[in-house]
Amino acid sequence: MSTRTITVENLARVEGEGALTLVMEQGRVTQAKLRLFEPPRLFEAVLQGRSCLETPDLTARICGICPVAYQMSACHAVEDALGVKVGGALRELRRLLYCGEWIESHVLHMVLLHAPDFLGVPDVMALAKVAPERVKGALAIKKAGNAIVATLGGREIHPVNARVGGWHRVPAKAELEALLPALRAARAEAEQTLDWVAGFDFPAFERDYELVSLKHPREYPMNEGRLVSTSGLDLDVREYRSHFVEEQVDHSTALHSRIIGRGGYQCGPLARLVNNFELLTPGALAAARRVGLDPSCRNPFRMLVVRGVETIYALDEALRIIGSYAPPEAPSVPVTMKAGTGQAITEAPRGLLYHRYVLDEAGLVRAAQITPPTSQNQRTIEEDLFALGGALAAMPLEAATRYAEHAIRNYDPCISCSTHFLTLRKEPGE
Amino acid sequence: MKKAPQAVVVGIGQPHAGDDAVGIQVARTLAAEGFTTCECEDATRVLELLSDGERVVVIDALVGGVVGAVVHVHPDALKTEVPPVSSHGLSLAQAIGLARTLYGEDILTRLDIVGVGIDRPRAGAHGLSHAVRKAVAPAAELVRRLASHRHHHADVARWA
Repeated sequence: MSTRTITVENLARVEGEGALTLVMEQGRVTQAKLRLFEPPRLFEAVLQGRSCLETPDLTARICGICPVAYQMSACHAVEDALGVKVGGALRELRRLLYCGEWIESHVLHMVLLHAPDFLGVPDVMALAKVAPERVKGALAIKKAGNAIVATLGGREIHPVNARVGGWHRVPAKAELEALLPALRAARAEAEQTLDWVAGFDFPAFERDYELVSLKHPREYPMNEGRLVSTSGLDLDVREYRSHFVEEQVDHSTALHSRIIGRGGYQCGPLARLVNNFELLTPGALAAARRVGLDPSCRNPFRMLVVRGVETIYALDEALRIIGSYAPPEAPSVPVTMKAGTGQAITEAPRGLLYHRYVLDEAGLVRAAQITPPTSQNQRTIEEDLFALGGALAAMPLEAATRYAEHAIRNYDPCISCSTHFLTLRKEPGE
Repeated sequence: MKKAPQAVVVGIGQPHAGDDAVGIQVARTLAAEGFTTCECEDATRVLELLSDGERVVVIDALVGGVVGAVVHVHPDALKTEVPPVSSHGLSLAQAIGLARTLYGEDILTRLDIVGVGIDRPRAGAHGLSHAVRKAVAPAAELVRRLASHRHHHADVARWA
């Protein structure tokens, strides 16, 4: 029997420490394991006994790329437990902060991390030689996104200004208006970036995913909405644990999520777009149609293009929010401690980020659950690799390795922390 | 003669990694004197400043040399075998490599790098070791001089 094993000891251009093992027999994949071996970071245990008011800043430390997502899910979940409602300009500013994170995270992944796969170059250093204007453009877009986070959050990485109930400080109108020139320039650049990535060659690969995202009646989802799917789920986010479960698997320190009674699902940009296509801004909608995207898309390789559309959306939304901004009378609403359980899901750049907190009368965290998007997509990534088995088996080792990594990077997995060189090992057939 | 604009001082380091924070300490020393500074845990900001046409003096910890030594580093002396970019940011060599590719070799006339030798970063450690703490003042003096005056790398002397 012909057996071939592809082992990628350290996945590059993903967030954190992970590896891949693919075993192929007789032209098909018989084993696909995305091995996440980064040590458990035990944040849920760290939170126990801490004030619920600390959860936004503590959980933001989970990730340097999407700290806003952690802050937002934490704020909303604690506010759910305490019965706090945040509306008006305070809510709009939260959405603006999220726009900043989507912009910088999406463009970083699209151009610096994923585009090299499509163009057959090893990394952004090589990409800069073949497409310097696009790399320059991406850096300018990213800078505009970072500027939003720095202005609203106090600094670009791990911002410190968001809090339960609103903000520690709200910006003056002029502070936000100072962002406008760079955002307008980034908006024009984002159209060019989208057209560039839409011209890449995309593998003809589709699967019948269950695409799960938030859905809000009036806006493309970031902070709030119901939990919906392409297979008919339509839930209050408080029902999450009744329909989704996390499981331990022996090859990963990250839990695998699945829909109870159904199996794997996909969250992230493609799910958001398919479930909320009509809620894009007119400009983003036109851009999506121009590059051939519509709600029928099921090709995970085209998530690169979806990120381009969402970048345009986030820039449009940021410009709208700044244009209509009037500083609120107070930077936050009153928060009173009480016992309770709160849950929230927000849309991190990579997909659904679920937080749940059980609080005591003093507002101390008694139990916490955090389910990030990568653990929700992990099973689906492995299923993609199974489905790609025929193509992978037909390729030479080096090409198959590159292709498998390319497929993993469709999901922009955020394992967290460092990135390393690849080391490949080919085992002889048994 | 028109005075050259003052450079932006970029302190690179991790405040919670022991001697790795020396660049941050030097930047804070100069910030207190009115220099334009920024503190970063990676070198992405260096790339942005160079792309904006700014003159930049980077102060960072150096592993592998004499602990406490203050060194004026030529960009070519940085390790050139750079790994693929991480989505957590750019190393200094990556940032400078990208800047040279995107904006040309002329950017080197707007860039100085000062290193302070350390043994190694220590995760979760706060504060500098005695030897590295003693290097903060001479490192600040060199950065102060470089940030205040335009010069060319041909003039660069090795400091130790």
